[in-house]
Amino acid sequence: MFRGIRDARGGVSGILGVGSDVTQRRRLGVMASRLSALKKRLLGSLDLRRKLSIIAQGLIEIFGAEIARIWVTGPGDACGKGCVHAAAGRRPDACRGRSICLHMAAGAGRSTGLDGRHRRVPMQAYHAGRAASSGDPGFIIRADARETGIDGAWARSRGLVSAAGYRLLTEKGAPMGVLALFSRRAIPPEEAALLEDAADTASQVIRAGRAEEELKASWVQYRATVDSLGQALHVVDRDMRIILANRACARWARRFGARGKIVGRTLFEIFPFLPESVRGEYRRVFRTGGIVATEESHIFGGEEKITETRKLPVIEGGKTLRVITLIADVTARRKAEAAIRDSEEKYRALMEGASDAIILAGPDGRLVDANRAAVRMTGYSKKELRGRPFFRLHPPSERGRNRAALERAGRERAVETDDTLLQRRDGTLIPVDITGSRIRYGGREVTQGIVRDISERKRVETMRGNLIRDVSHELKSPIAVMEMAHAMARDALGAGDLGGVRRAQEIVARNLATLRKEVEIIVEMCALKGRTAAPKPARVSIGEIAAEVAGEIRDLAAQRKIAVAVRIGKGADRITADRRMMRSLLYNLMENAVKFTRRGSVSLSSSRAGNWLTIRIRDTGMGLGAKDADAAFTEFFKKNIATPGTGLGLPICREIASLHGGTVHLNSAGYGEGTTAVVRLPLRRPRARRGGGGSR
Amino acid sequence: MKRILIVDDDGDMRAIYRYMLGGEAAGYDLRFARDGLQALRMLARKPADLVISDVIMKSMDGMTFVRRLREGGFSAPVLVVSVLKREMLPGARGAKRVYFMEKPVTPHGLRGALRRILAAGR
Repeated sequence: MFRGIRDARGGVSGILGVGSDVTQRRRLGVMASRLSALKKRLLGSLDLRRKLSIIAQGLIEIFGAEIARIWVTGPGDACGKGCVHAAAGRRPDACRGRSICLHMAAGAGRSTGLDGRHRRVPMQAYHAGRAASSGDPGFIIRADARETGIDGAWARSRGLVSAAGYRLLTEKGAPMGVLALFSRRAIPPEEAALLEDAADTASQVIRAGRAEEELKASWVQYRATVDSLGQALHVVDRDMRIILANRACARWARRFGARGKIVGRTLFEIFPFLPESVRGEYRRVFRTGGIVATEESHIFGGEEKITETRKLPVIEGGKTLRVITLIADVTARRKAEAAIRDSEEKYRALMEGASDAIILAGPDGRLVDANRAAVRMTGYSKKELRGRPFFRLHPPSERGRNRAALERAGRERAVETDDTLLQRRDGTLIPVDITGSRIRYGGREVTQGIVRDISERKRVETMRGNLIRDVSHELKSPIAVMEMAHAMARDALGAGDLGGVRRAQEIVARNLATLRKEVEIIVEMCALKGRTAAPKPARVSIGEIAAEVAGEIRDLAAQRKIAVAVRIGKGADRITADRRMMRSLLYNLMENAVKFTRRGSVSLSSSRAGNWLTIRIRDTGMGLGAKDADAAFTEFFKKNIATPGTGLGLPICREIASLHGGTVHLNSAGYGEGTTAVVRLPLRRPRARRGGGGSR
Repeated sequence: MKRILIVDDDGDMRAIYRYMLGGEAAGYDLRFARDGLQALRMLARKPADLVISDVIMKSMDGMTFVRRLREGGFSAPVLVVSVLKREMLPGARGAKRVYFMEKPVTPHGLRGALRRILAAGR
């Protein structure tokens, strides 16, 4: 009869019915030393299953057991496959859907014929399951005791009288398995401590095995992670020996000609071309524990590769023991960056050289940059422009419109703001057109505004408007007067007022003459410009033509009490020229002189110097400024709309002088100081082609 | 008899106006000025019920003349007669009691316009 005796902690400390003390002690001593020997055997580098088999075999030998088995916990993997325990119905050994069960890990001694069914044992079922989930470290019981879950008939048929079950625990004390043995002899309670020791040894072996498996699994995962890196990675120890290298690193090494394994060889064996500076960098990382990042350029088959290398220290106990090196191929990135830099440099050069002002505004509407033309246009320095809200370059009346345009430029391809105003630093306004578009500049999105000064265009537009107005006034006026005089004549005739009819006729005649003169001058200009009036050279007398013209303008001059004189110098009379054109030239200049003179005189004089004839028409009239002296030769130029004439007289003079290879210009000391028109003509035959002309 | 001052630097136009608006039957007291400055001086001496003015004149253009008239406190209506269209005249927009006629004008048209303007001013 065996009965377990429990100690104060609830553990089984003894069993009743044992032999003499001396023999027992000796036997326990032998068993203890054999258990120690067993533990030593487990120190070797064996796998977990093998170690557990050794323990099971040791239990047979040390405790003289018939059967020894070790189960360890694992997932209930047979549950879904018709496990016999799940099908055991309501019996106490039935499994009730537990997620874990005991998996037989090792066995020794007699084959029981029960292993098949007992390869998986539910926790809390059978002898093994109860022992594993028990609150006690273990127990020694009679093998045929019904309440232990042992099949008594089975035990008796095999002569088994004693059974022991000891739980195996994790480090945290959770059930991890069970060590069980059956013996044909009664296991004495004195052996309980040895059994507990054996179970503890098995627990340690399993824990170590599991930790090793986990480590192995994490290492596999780590390797997979490291290998999946796009970057090459290697780890070197203090001797510069590579202790780890991922696949990308191995590929790099092969590209550089390395053969065989990389791990175990020094970095400089694998990459012999590395310069001494690299050794210095590693020394620095080992010495300082800091990170070193560098960029290198290599040539692969004529193609440049750029790598970025980062050396990271692995510090243990305050000392850098290893260095992890990450090498990334940044060729594409650097090339893209270089391309952006290059395109930005080109853009900057274009921008600086542009004649239009270019301003760049950030998303907040403040200027981030501006070109030289913008500095010229606005009067602000670049420094003053940067950071300035763009809308403050406009007068208040134009700000809303331009602010809206900037917002639209953020959404649309290009936004044009025509005929707006820019306010310069000195407050003056310039008419401008602005084209806004979104571009990338300095690595960010900005709005580019190309600002075109349209002052000149506006001036030309105004001029064109004035020209149309002036010409239409000049031509329409005599026509309107004639029409009104015609109506007046009709009324007068109806009323029998012959005096009225005569006055109306006189009005018509005067205005008809004015109109004819104006039309003739326009036609003459068209002929000269269209080259349909080529000079017909002949020997002509300037004195004769001048006298003729003076006679023509005498009436007009007499009305104003202006004396007209002609003085021809010696050898300065006859010239080869187109007579009609010479007449037109002198007429226009002399009529002009009379027209702009209120009192005094108009005189024509000629002189000769070498091959050149110079004609001067001097008046004592209103004079003009230097700017107007040049502008007066512009077609349709009129200082004032009320100035009589078409504004074509002087341009015609210049055309004629030019066709004869000569020039004409106006000299005046200023307003009120009179004017002198100076014509210079070559005495030889006129050239066929048209020269430069104009004032010198 | 309504007093009308006619401002025009063209002698022929002054003659036409004299014929169109002159005579006892028309019932106008006509005066003539060659330019804006002369007209201002004349008005300062003796006011007019209506002024007829050309636009393009040598010493002062018609629109400047109208502005100077108003600045001088002269509020009588002004009939501006020009070969230029109204939109081509600078400063024509917004002028009060200023009327426009484009040349050529007929005697009948001019007299009708004067009647309407003078009636509106009553």
